[in-house]
Amino acid sequence: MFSRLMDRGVWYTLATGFKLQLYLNIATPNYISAVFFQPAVMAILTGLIFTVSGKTEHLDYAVVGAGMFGVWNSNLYASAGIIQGERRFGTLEFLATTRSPLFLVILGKTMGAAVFSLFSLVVSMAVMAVAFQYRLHVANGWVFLLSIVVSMITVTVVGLLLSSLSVVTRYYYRIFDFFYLVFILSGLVFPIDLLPRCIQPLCYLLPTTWSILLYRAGLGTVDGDRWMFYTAGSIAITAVYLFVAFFVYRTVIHKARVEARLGRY
Amino acid sequence: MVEVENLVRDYLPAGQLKAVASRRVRALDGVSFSVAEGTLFGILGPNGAGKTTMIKILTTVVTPTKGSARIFGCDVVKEAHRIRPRIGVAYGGDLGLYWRLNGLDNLVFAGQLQGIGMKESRARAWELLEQFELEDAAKKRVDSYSRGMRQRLHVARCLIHDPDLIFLDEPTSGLDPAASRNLRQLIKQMKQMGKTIILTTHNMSEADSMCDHVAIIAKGKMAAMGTPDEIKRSLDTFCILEVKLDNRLPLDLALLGKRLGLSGDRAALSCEQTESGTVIRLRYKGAAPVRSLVKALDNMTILEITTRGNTLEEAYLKLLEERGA
Repeated sequence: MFSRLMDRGVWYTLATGFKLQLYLNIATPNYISAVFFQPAVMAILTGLIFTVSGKTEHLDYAVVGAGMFGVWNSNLYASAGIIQGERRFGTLEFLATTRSPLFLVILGKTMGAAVFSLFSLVVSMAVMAVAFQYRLHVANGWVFLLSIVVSMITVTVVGLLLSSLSVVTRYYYRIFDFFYLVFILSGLVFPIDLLPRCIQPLCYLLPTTWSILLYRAGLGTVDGDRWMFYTAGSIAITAVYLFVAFFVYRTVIHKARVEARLGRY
Repeated sequence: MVEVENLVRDYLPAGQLKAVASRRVRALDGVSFSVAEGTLFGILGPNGAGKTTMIKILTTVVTPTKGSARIFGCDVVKEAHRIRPRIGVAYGGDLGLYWRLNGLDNLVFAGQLQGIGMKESRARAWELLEQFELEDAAKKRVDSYSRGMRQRLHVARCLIHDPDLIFLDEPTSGLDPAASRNLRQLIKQMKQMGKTIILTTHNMSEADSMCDHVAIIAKGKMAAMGTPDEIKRSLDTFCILEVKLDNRLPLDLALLGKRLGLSGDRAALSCEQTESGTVIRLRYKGAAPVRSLVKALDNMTILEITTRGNTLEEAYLKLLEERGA
């Protein structure tokens, strides 16, 4: 396993998939809208709510909320559609006939979508700075940076899982209906403590919950001393999701080859 | 190089329950053939005959239900990873390319996905763009390309890693005559470079002029296989010998038939008066009876003698008719 990770070809394939997705995202108006306009609108709306109601101390929530919403929304939108998009344009069959393992290409593409979604965070911060003269207060710079890296890994893995699951059905866009539920359960919109007690354990099964906690630890809006716990939680739950994603991917791609559904059908 | 043995592929119509086995559609039903290195092999058949399914199985995209297929001695299911680096595939049509990227990027990414370095991919991409006369459109988005340009880009992309075996699924489909001719020239060049090519087509004259061997598939079964000439010869039908004279035929057609020993078959001989003279048509099987016809016409001035054998299209249609396809 380790020797395979050291193989230059593996990294080259990941990099190619990564770059390909960036090129495609830049050329696709829907992604541009999801990454740049949606977080900007959301940042302005939440910023106005807090400013008008005189609760400017909560502007951090607006930045975190709008930024992370943009990151997750654009990434999950892009990732969930990666395999389906390739299938719709008839390029999945081409990818399946190349030398590069399809899993690595899809993983690289999902990573590309994750990094592209980071612009949402930058946009929400820039909008808040210009519109509300807001400056982000980062309590712990290293933890904040770590939270970004961990978020990207988490987003990639969840994207990979969604991407693979989307192969099972051609009504994959129904997955998007659950995004808002995930955002609520992850504590992105409001703290998890406000949810019914019986639902709260479920929230900790979502990798998004842990990465958002770590992100807030970096900003100092939750207990910053627990950043290691949040990092460990995030990595552990992401590892489980990666395992599941790989298993689901292998199963659905094998099924697609057997049922001749790699192409448009 | 390619060995296919008793290949069977069943499809379940979309939205059907797996348990309903009776609704399965058999796309390929025990097809066997082999393709030697360096040959241009054509797979012919009507729509729905199973040609594309065959290509998809050989290119490792679809698994067979039964039977086996081996390429370079490797099984298409178990050793697909060994086959993929050595094959190039052009499914053709409007799909299969990144429409939002330009032609150059489509080729460069294809090269990189085939494991070629960035610089080499770029150099190779420009080389192919030039060869396929797409260099002026290299930096235009593929969604602005015409059908012919996309088709050429498909074929160019499958050559980016210099594969040993090339699959072309209806490469000239939907192209105008000039674009088709250009693409056929390029395919011939690929063959001259020693590549083995397997192509599917509906165009019989294309298959006749290009392919070394053809296989005709009808209703998922192998209807005929061999060189185009062998398939044409296998047909038990007549050929036509046509003789143009500078003047009116001075003798009765029945008498000419009698001289040729055709008294029992009136339909074998016909005569047509034209502005420039007379055209006599003689239907025959086997060797063309040129000498006996010239002798029968005695001292008449013959302007032109032509023979027209069975075309591959006639043979193909006859075979399909026999099989009820």
